[in-house]
Amino acid sequence: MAKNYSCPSCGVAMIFDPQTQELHCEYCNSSYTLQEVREAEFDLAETIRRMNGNADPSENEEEEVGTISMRILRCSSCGAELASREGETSSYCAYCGQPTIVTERLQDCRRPDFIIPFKVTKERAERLVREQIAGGGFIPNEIRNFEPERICGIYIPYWLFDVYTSDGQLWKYNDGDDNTYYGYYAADSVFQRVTSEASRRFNDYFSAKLEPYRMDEVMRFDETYLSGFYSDQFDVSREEAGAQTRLRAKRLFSDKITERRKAMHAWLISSNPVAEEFRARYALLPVWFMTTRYRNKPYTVLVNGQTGKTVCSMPVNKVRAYGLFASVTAGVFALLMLLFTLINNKIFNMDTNAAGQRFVFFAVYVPVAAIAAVLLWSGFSAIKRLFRIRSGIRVAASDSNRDFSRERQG
Amino acid sequence: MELFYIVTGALLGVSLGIGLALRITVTLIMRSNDVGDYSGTCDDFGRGVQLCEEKDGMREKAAKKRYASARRKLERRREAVVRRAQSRYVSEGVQRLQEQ
Repeated sequence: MAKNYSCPSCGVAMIFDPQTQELHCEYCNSSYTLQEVREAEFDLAETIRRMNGNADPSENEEEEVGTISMRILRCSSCGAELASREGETSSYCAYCGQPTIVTERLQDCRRPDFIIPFKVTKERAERLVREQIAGGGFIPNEIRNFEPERICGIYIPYWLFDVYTSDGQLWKYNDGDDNTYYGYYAADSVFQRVTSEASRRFNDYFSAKLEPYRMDEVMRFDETYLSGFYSDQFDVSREEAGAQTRLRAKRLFSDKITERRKAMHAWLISSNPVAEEFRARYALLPVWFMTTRYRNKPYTVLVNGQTGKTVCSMPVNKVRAYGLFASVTAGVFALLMLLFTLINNKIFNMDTNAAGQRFVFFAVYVPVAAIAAVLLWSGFSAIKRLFRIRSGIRVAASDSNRDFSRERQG
Repeated sequence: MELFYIVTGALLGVSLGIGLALRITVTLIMRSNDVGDYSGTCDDFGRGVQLCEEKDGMREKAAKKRYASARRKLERRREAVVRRAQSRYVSEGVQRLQEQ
């Protein structure tokens, strides 16, 4: 059965306070360390056991090794499921942002090995988002005065892998005198606690951005940290996450050693990247979810519950964006026309024939045309990044989160 | 002829202006609206890359021979590291079960 951490003074359910890292009773305003709560619980259990005349404490042990009993809240709109300890209730879904009916059931969940408790308080998370959004020049004014409709803290499931990675690269290079030489480089590494997000409902676009988490602050799992928060459960298997992590480890490793090869201006002849994950642990990592509404559409903003890193993709204020684009274009055009008029006057006042003037003209304008071509090409390639922003905004709009969940659940 | 010069200048001006404006606008929008980029480096996890062997300035035949030998060495290291880590993992698990 799920444990409910009651206040030793007044008996009301307590919640975990990220600021003090203690359990706090909002009713009588008292706080207790995890150790104090466990001791109080042990004393109570001992007293009950004595009153029942039960000699063996293990006879009352109801929890199975490796599982914890949680209350599962299921959103009837998007089908997302979130786990909560006793005491937390919800009338809306944190994923799709809809005030949908939530059904509940009790379920045994796999007990996580590790947890990073919330370090950022709800107030600080809200302040961080406000500061971030207020500084965004292209965010619509309605959002810049950020008023979150809902804020909730969710522990997101992750697999933490220890991965052995190695690579040997053989390359060739020229020394400048047409002599070809060869070189090789062999290196390995043990990556510790490489994160792989384990919830299909939580969007990969956001989870990648929420990183990095500081893994030196990871702690053995304790149910106490869940008080006052929700937690998602993993639905990506260890094997599936392991395959993704191997690819990620190979990429990280290869990026690192390719830097060395590029510094030598060498060509790669052979490479043999290997990655093998040999240990996987299940962990819960903290995230603040905030929903705000713009033109009747909910948008989700996230804050890393440990480091306070803000992650969002906000709609663009089109008037400002087009305004900036038009004014820069007009400014550059006017400046260049002035410059070209001066150059042309110089050319036409030159004491030479028409062929000579034409030669000077092309000598000046061909490099300018080359610069213009490069700028135009890089400008249009920047448009690709605009499409990335658009897809991010679509993800942030919770309606598409809902579609995402629906797709995943078939 | 003068018209040709004017038109060429105007086209260049517009191209430069559009190119520059696109770059500036997209960069500023990215910074303002799409917050939190992270791609990661291998130094974020553990001790980073440990160099086993490196050599350059060799002829092709010698380099390929040394490279093959370095790869075999890496393979032996991999087996040893994984075996050691797995046995530690198992003993930690047993210890935890005993504690419970």
